[in-house]
Amino acid sequence: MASTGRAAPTDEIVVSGVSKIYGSGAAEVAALSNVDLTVRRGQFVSIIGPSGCGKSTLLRLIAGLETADAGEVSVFGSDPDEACAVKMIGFVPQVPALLPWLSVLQNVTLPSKLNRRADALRRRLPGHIDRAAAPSRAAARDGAAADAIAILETIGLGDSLGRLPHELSGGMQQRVALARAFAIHADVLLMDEPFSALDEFTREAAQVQLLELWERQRTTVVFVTHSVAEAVVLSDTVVVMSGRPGHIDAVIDIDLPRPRRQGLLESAALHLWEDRVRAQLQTAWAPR
Amino acid sequence: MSAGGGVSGGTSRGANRGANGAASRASGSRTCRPSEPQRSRLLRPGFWLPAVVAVVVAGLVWEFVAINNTYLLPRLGAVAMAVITEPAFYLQNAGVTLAEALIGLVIGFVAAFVVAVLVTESGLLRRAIMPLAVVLNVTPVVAIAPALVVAFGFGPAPKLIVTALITFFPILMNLITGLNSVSPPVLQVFRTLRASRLEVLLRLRMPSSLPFVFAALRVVFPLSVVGAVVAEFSAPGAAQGLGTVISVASSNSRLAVVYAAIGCLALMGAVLLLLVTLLERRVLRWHESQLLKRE
Repeated sequence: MASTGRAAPTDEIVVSGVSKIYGSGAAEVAALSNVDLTVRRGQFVSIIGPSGCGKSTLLRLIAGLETADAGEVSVFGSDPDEACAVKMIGFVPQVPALLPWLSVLQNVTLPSKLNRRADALRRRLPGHIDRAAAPSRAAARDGAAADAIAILETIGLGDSLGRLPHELSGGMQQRVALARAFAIHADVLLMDEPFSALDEFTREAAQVQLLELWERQRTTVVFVTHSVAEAVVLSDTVVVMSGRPGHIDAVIDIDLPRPRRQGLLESAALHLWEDRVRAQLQTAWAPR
Repeated sequence: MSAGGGVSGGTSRGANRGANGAASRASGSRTCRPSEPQRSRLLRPGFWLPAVVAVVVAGLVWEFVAINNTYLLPRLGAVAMAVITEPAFYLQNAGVTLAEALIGLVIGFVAAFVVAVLVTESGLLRRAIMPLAVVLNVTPVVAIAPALVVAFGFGPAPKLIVTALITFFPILMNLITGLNSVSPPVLQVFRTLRASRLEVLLRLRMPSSLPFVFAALRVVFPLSVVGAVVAEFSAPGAAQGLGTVISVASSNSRLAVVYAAIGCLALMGAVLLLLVTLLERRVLRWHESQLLKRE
């Protein structure tokens, strides 16, 4: 839906005819009903909708954390399980979820130390595009640390490498979580309202830094949010969902120039797009 | 018994985590220089004077009772003399009891660790093992000790077994709670990376369980001394250990020696507790419970 031209299956995330039901019998709740969505490689896509519309469920289905009751999910030609097995997917939850006993740098390099077999495996997978090929294991380890430091410096945490998470503010912790996701050079990053707990100023700064990281890697991002402004300022495409049962109401391509910097937040064009998304959300919720 | 105390101690710390999150973050900048305010606090009379007064009052009450009833309590001077005249005797027996307590504790800890990992990794094993462990917990270990002496003789074996048994359950329950105390979002991050079960155990579950392990250790270190002494009581022919000293001296009505040995045991327990607390402060410097203490 989000894409216009036909692309190779290894270049798209495709969700087709997906339904998800929680509970059984009288307590049965349909979280998602017949959802179709296509995300092209390199796109930044936001999913927006009121709470309970199934947007987080959709994200968890792509992440392979849950399985669909009907329909199919394909992540660049692989199913989510295979994609996770080769570390093609980076997940950023709502809370920073850092390990409190590891330093900032150790937290960011941790994913490169887990499931080491995946690094060799995923080079053979057609849907993976190798961004950081390392010749030897030792070089890969040094490379991972250097890469993590570079990412942390990009988002202004270069002087906090050795600090423990509890010594950081909430906004800094969430930025470390972003850095951890970017550090594995995943093919797709799935973010579940990562900035929802931050105050407005911190959130806007975090958004700018997220865009900065994304401009560098140009990886694919699926970003769940309940903030219209956040969705518009970050995304190429905003997917509007509504609930009971969860379905997609509209897919809106945001035609704002990139790179988007701080000045954009005040621009009239941005507000125009916000109004369009907001109008779409309201029609979705008008009684039918 | 103390098992319950250990577990509830652990759980309440877990519950505190969320609530204290904001407070600990705010205290972040202060954590770099923790020893400075602590030292000055120790020098203030307001800090140490109440404890000193309490000890002096307790000593005076003791002396008052002891002067009139020598068969109820020995004079403190007599207790001190008992230790001063034969320091090597007490030191050697304390060493024996301490070794029994610590080795027994290590055995109990290793066994509890293995069982806790098996039980958290497999539902089948949990259903098989947990009822047995609970029955073992409600059985008074004091009652098993004489049977163990019959089976294993007067050597160190029954003492180590009793100590291991008595320490096993509190460690097990805290470890199970600790290994399961991983927050779901962190687990989701590990799952999307397809971290193996061993990686989750080593890099996530075990470090997460450390605060609970220390809660257990604070209960179990003093308990291990209890286990060793109880086992020595049950083996009256045993040649050494403070428990033996107490049972022999009390059958001869040598109260001063009995209380000297009891004093040694109390001191031993206190020193062990202090060591655990110091170790905890070092190892858990990332944990909320330690950050709050520094405020």
